[in-house]
Amino acid sequence: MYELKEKRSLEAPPRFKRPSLVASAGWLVFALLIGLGVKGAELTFSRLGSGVVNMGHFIARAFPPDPTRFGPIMARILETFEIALVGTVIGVIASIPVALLCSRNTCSNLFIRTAVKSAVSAMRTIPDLIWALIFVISIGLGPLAGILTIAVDTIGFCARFFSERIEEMEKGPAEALESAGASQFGIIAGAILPAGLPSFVGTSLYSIEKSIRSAVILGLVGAGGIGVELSTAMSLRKFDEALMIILMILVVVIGVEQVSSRIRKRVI
Amino acid sequence: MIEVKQVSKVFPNGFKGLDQVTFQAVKGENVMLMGHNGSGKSTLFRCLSGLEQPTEGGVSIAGEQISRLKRKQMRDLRKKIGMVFQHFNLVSNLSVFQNVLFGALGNVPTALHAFSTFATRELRIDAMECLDRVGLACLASRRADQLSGGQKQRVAIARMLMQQPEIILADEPIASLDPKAGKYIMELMSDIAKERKLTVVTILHHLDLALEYGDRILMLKEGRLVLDEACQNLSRGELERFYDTEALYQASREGA
Repeated sequence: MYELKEKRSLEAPPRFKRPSLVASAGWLVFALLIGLGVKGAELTFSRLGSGVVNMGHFIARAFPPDPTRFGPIMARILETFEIALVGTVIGVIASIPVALLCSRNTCSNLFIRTAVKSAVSAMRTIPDLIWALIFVISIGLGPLAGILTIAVDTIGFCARFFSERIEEMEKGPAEALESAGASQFGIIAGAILPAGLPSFVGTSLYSIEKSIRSAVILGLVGAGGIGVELSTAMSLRKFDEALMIILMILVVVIGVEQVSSRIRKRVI
Repeated sequence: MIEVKQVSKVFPNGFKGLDQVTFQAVKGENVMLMGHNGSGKSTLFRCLSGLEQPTEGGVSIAGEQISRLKRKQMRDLRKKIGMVFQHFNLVSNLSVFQNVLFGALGNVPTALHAFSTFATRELRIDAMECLDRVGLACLASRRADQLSGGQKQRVAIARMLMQQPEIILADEPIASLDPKAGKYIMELMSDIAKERKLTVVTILHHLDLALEYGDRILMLKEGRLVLDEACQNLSRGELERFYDTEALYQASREGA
């Protein structure tokens, strides 16, 4: 007893722990990469300074924005919006069965589940611009390539979140319907989908916002939409027209986000 | 109606959940199943509803041997068994009426027919009558999560009535309710069981309510049935002594 008291130490833990060898090596590689990155991008103050000056030139030439091609630009913006909307709707609808197939509580077959899950994560991890390039090559230029890209991107995103929601769902209601003699379809339609619906709607609305932003870019690789107008205006150095396009994109994106957040508040 | 013959259940990890349990419940009988946590009540219930297969012995319900049933027959049997749960298990963001309609999921041609929009006129009337039986017809279009606990359990009972069950299995139906609501639910279930001659097995921890509403009391201890006695032959004191851990322990040792 006495000895124990003697050995008791009030020394606080050390301020720093000596990092392990692996952690030290990790930090070293990290620092090296940062250094190389800064060097590779030639990130110097003189360059940043001249960048600010060039930005000034751009802004000077971009003002005032040029509204002469308002009509055609508006048509392209509308096309962009349609690509995003149609692609997202297709993606969301497809996401529901896909999500059911990759959730533990709705699909007991491990093989199917793993296969579908991997397909979904491939859709998500391959960037949308690469999907767009693939679709442009396989079905040609135009809005259809854009729609397919957005649909694939939406499945990658929505199916994952839908499935997470389905898996974390409380088992009770499904069990109750099963005990009433409901079929597997009855359990899904009666307990699982209704309980997930508010979350599904929230995810889908967010995914529309995401799709709009993505559809703007898709035009750059010829998958339809406003992107091609923007890149043309930029390369022809018609900065005032470019600014007009950017402003119009801003208005549409903000508008969609506003509408979607209103709907989300109502539903959830 | 319910026949349990020498049922044992040994779990894969070697734990003996049930040990040679035998009892019968005849049509219209109200049986209270008691016992401490881990005594095997829930395991016995899962064997009764076919969610679990006993390792030994047989369970037959409404004249059908559960272990022999195929998937489809099992579903048919489940329709005859109405379950009442501790946490009600309603679909919380749907209406009360819709929840009650789901009780018919086992009896409609397709699942869509159990949805308010597509249900037949007769089914919709049935659902309202079931709701009326539990006294909640006035709340039909309320969302289920806006109700109090007692009301939720009444809706769950209405949903169970939609199945037109022959047997009711109630798993701690009043454990999450206040005493007043709990008594109301016990009264309601006992009335319904009497008027429809239903066999009821209820897991309950409440001695007074068990004696008041039960016809018979079964007590489990470490997977073994240590008491099977008509309520009229049991006094509150006797039951209490049985429920008490020490007494149960002795009783089970004497029985062994």
